Amino acid sequence: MILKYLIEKEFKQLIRDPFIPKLIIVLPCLVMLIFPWATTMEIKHANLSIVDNDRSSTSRKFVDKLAATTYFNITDVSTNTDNAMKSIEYGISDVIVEIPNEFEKSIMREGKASVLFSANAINATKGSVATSYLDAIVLDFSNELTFENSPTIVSAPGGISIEPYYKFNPTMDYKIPMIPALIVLIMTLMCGFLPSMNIVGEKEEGTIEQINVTPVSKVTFILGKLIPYWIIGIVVFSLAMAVSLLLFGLSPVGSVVALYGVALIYIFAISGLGILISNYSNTLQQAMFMIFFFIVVMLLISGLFTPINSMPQWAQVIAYLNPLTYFVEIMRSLYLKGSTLHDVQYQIYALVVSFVILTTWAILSYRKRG
Amino acid sequence: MKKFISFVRKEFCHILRDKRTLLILLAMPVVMIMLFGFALSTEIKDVKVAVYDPSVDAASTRITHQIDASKYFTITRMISNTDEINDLFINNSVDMVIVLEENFYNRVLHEGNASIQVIADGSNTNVSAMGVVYLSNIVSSFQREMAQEKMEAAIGVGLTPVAPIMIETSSKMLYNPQLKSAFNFVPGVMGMVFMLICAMMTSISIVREKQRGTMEVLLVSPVKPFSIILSKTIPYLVISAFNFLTIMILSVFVLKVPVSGSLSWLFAVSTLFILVSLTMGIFISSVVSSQEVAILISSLVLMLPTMLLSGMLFPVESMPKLLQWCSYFVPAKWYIECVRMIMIGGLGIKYCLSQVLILFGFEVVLVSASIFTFKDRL
Repeated sequence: MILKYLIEKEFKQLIRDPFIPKLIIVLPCLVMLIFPWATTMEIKHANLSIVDNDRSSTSRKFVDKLAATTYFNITDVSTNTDNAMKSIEYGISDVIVEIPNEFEKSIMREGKASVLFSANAINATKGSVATSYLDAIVLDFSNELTFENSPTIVSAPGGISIEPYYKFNPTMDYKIPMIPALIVLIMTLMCGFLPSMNIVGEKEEGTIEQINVTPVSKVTFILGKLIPYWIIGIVVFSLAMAVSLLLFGLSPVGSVVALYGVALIYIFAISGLGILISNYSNTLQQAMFMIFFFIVVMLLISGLFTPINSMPQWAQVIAYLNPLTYFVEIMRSLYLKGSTLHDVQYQIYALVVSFVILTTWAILSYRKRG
Repeated sequence: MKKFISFVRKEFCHILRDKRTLLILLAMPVVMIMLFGFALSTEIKDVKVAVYDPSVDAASTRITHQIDASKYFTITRMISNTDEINDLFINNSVDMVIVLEENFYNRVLHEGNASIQVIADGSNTNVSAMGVVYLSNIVSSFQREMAQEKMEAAIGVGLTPVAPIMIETSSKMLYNPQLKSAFNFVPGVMGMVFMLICAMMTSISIVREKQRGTMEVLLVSPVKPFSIILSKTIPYLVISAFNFLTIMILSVFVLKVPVSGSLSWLFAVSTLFILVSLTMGIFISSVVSSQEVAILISSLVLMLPTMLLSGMLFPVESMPKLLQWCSYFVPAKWYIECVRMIMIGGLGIKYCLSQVLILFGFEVVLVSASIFTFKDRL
């Protein structure tokens, strides 16, 4: 019964500052509205600087072939490597394609030639993907030349064609997989930050003393602190799902009830972490830096932005101790693939374990003596 | 001046007293650099692949081995039935399935119309897209090998086949020959850490004085209000300079990301960015009145765009135009570009003049906005 009044008190406090209710409504909408467009690692096009030292019909044909692709965009054609290097330095182009002297001659005489690519590899992914594409185009070009020279005698094994099919996302829309990931992000921010500021806020204002002298038990007190954030978490979750349905037409493939169930377990776990940090901090500043630190590390190492398989062993161990990792996996599976709870049972067990640990710890670490 | 110095000393005392926050302030850049340098990589590795191979002949086993041997892929299972594919994806046991066809050897070598079907998990677009690109490379080098062997075999039996035209390609990776993701991340971490420490800490520490009522005490002192605010920023400037040093040492000696350009220009540009962040903190503190709101604004409203729109994790040039325009208003974007050019690219300051001018513009606007909104009585 006391719990009810405690919850009522929390909500009153929350609403008193009009900024926070606004934030709870507006931020999830904004994040879902803007960030699916931003969080794409797709490299749509790369700019090329061409240094054509040969200026023959073959080299021109090659340049035309590059220009005809949608992926590459030719910014300048020169005969001077220094000029091309300038455009790399100023960030105008990403790759220099250098066609050597006597390119055509050596193809005609020896059936062999070479091309040099120099890619700006500060962004390593962009550099390697762009040169991979260029390699494929060159291979295609040399096959064409072979065929033109001797259309009848094809001695080489024919092309092996690769037919990619992207399951669950056939058009390879980069926004789709980011939607469940961003829902996770916004829930983590809301249900992590808000509770972490709660108890320590009362400590700073001195109001915690008033609670401590009441007969309210530890469990009731902490539950009274947690339940409002559980409700906020569910509101944020529903809001984010609604926005993604309205805006991107993406509804969960798996069961919505199951999604809510899992989301609830995750909200329990993450708000437990928030309260835990709040218990251990003396000032808001401390609490904020601690939660910020934990959330940033947890977000980065959860496989949300970069693949877990690419991490070294020690980082993978941390990743599998991180509740977020499991939640991201469950969300992607349920939301996009239509997995059932049975398919992700181990991830769910892991979430339940982290919820139990964090909440028990939060209750135990609360001291009524200031 | 003496009064001002005693104010600065007071601020230092505040910070030194709170050991835990200080620890996080100093350890944050270290942890971030380690995470980004060693743990996170946008490159793919060990993508879990299942292979369906109905022919099991010389060509199909060879290509399977080549795929398995590549660092990008690990073949976790061979499947005997294409009906299994769906379940494998649904319970997350594979990222990609490669479906070979029957009679693969014959098709590759004699008919020349072989095809390989690649089914990738579209719910993880980055991994799938890159996986398909790297797989195509493995297949085309396999194809070349086969062609070469067939030629040699033909010469061996006394035929003179027409050699296919081969254009060799060689790629040079400028600035980052080992293709380390850290080269892209270090400038991003610098942007994030300075923004975090300067904007957040300054805004919170000013608002705290307001909320606790101690601001009133400060304002009635003979020190000018402007100096009070200024004295609040000095300690964070010092901490940021210290963090700059740690980041540089770590990135050069631990991550082996060299400082190719001028260190002093790098320091100058960083100082400018730190000033922008500090002023932003002051501006936030002058428009809000509670610590909670200051925290939420500086962490969520400021950090989210800094992380996602600055080009640190996601390339800005791939975003839609509208978002690219939004990213122009994120100071960290300009700073990160500058650091990339000076530190990694080894370019002179004249290459990033426009970025520096834009940062300077931000500073001017923020300073005037803070002066305009600053109230010297509560």
